[in-house]
Amino acid sequence: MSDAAASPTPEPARRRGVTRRRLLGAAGAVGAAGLAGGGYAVGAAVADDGPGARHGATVPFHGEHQAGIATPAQDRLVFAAFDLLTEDVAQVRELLQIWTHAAEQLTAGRAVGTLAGNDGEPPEDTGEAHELPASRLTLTFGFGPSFFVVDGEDRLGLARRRPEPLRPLGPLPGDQLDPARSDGDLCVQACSDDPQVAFHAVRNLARLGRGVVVLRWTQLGFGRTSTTSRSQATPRNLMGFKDGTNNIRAEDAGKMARHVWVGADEPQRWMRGGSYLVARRIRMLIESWDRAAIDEQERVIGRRKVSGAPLGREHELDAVDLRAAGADGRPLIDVDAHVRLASQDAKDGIPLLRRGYSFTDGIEPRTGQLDAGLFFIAYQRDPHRQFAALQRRLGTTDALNEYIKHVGSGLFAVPGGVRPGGWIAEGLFARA
Amino acid sequence: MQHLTPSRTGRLVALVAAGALATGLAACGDDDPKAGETTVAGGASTTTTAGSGSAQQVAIEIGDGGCTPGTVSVKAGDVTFTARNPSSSEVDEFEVKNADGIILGEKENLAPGLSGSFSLTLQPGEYVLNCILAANGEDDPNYDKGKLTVTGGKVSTPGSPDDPELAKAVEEYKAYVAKETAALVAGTKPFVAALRAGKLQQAKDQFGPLRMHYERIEPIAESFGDLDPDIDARINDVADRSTWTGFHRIEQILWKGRTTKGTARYATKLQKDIAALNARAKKVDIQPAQLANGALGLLDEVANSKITGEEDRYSHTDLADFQGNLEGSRKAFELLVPALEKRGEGELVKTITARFDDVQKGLDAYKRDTPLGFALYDELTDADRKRFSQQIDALAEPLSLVAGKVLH
Repeated sequence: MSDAAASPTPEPARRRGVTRRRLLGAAGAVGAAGLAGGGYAVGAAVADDGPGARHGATVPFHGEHQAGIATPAQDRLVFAAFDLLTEDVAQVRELLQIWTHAAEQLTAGRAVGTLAGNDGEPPEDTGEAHELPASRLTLTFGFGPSFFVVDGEDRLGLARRRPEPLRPLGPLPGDQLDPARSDGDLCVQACSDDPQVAFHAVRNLARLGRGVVVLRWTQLGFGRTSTTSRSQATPRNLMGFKDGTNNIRAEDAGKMARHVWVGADEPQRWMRGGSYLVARRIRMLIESWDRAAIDEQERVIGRRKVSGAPLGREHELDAVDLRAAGADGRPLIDVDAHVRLASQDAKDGIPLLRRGYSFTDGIEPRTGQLDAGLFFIAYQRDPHRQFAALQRRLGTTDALNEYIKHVGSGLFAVPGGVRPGGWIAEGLFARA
Repeated sequence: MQHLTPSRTGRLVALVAAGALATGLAACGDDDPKAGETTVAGGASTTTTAGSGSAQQVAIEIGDGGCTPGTVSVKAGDVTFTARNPSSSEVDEFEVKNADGIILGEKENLAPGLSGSFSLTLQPGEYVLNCILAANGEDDPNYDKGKLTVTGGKVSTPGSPDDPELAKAVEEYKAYVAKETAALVAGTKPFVAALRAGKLQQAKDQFGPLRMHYERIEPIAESFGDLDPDIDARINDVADRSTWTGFHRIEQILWKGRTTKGTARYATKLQKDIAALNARAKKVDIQPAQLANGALGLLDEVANSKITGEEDRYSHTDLADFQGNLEGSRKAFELLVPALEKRGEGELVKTITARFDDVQKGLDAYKRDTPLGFALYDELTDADRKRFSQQIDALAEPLSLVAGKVLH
């Protein structure tokens, strides 16, 4: 792909931390040993197909696309947004090489270095995932608009590599965004069936990045609210409703190509096979919702609560019939029902691959109310034509607005997958 | 306003109307505690029996052969269905559907040994009883098996305006709405005059007190989908900020811009919109459910935008809005008290009344001898903000039972 990619072994350490240098040493050694040992591999369960092996299963890190998008949604999430501390592009490139190697280890269920090395030195891996299986850990990396340009300034000299759709979403109706929970120069989406495994990954990536990047915000998601594969049942969100019944499924290659993956027509080659991640921290006004009558709740959503069936239909997977009317001629699905406005199948429907998680962060300190809701994540080809266009519609008319607030937002370009021996977004750093 | 959507209350007009015609999805939810879930309306309210007279009882056994009995005949009116699954693992759901195939009530997840009930107000006609395995859906051989015939004449649904207590409540609420919208029209005149005359302080002094008339009857305004956003949208409610109009648009100019310049076109539009609101409010068809749910919606407004200081973010007159919402909510509730008492809900009335008093007492401490009549939002202490929020939640929870109590 590029000459940079041809030499994954880094330049001699100048300002690097000892931990990262050591890890890179390991990376080189691992490369030579054909990944046999994996640094300090610790009894990782890899792709165990035996009974009850779900948590031991691994999701391959390498591939055409990054894992964690089309791969079946795991149950837990730790999402991390980072800010850059450097303007030195070489340091950033090196960090991405280090992160790549670390991600290869972590997603295989291995530690990122020694668990107990020499006396007098801190362990390289923080240790809390030791003896835990990989639990289908995926690590998905992305770049925010501010990675390239801040206040018109080309901070890393990479502005010419910024893909056109990676521009701030701008104010959207319904926004009540907290800057401390929004944006970021880079992001890592860590998903796993074990929250400790996902947390361990983010913690160690943050540690490896110290001095180059710093955590801006993180979000823990405790339960998936979306289904990205036909093999999965539809989960419920914190409103008690089945969510994402009509999500794009990874098995639908046509829809994935049309609506999710950046195609070969993208001039920025490093983004081909990638996607755009929009994250929204959507607080649910739980107390108000809980006292809403069941018919109001079902009217707002447009589905029955228990069965998940669209109003007027019988079963969850029955098609949503937006034209169905009751005996009085009024639509069975309200004109402002969420399912109507968010419908991907309507004439002007906007498809997205949703991959959100329920969250709670205790209580909102100002009011003492529950701070809980949906950490919405969506993948798409063009965030402006997809998510932002949809939110312009939903943010003004969705009946659900009475019960939610959008309090955090992030947009990230998620490049295509990493090939064995390559590293994250290496094409971004290729000499033109 | 909170958001641009025609609110829950406005929609409830539609819902109640639709319900009445489509045979009233009134559910009493006499759930056997062991039973599976019900998807019939009813929410948190339990154990109420149907409004007039006692409901007819229909007991259905669900089993491998479908519903037993498979043919049922009842008189039009309130019918309580109790479905029991003695032993079948082949069938776990009971549904009542109308001739159009729309489910009116159902009990799901009836594992062997479980039973559950729901109530419907049925109009004369033919209905379908289904005893099915939910997972099989329309492939189930038992699908559309049973037949329910409802005989007799049309019945009036409980909660309809025929109910004398409710009819009176609706009439008095209409008068209240008319009084508030008329006061809004009257108050807008001098406000607009002050804006046009460039009298900044005068305009500012009128802003909060004028809004209170709107805040008292906001659920009615919200039922006119287009008027509420035009009158009361906040900057982050609109898709295109160049189209933003109304109170808060003017508020931003007065407090942030510290001028009346640039308000003229918004003042003209506001006056026109408020005149339209006044005219439409006179003709609005208000349902009893709208009173109960409007009372609740106003408390949600308080909890989600006034207590947080989001409503009047430039003028900080939120506490006056808070008072307006609280009064409007209390008024609607108090009009329903006779209907509640007639239904034996005196305890509920007492609880709600006491909790209204608690909130009002806290808010009284912020009354000031100023044109606004209230302290500015900045004065609200952290402890009081939290206390108000929790008091509102404590009040709204029992208030949320009122609609179910008066309608069923």
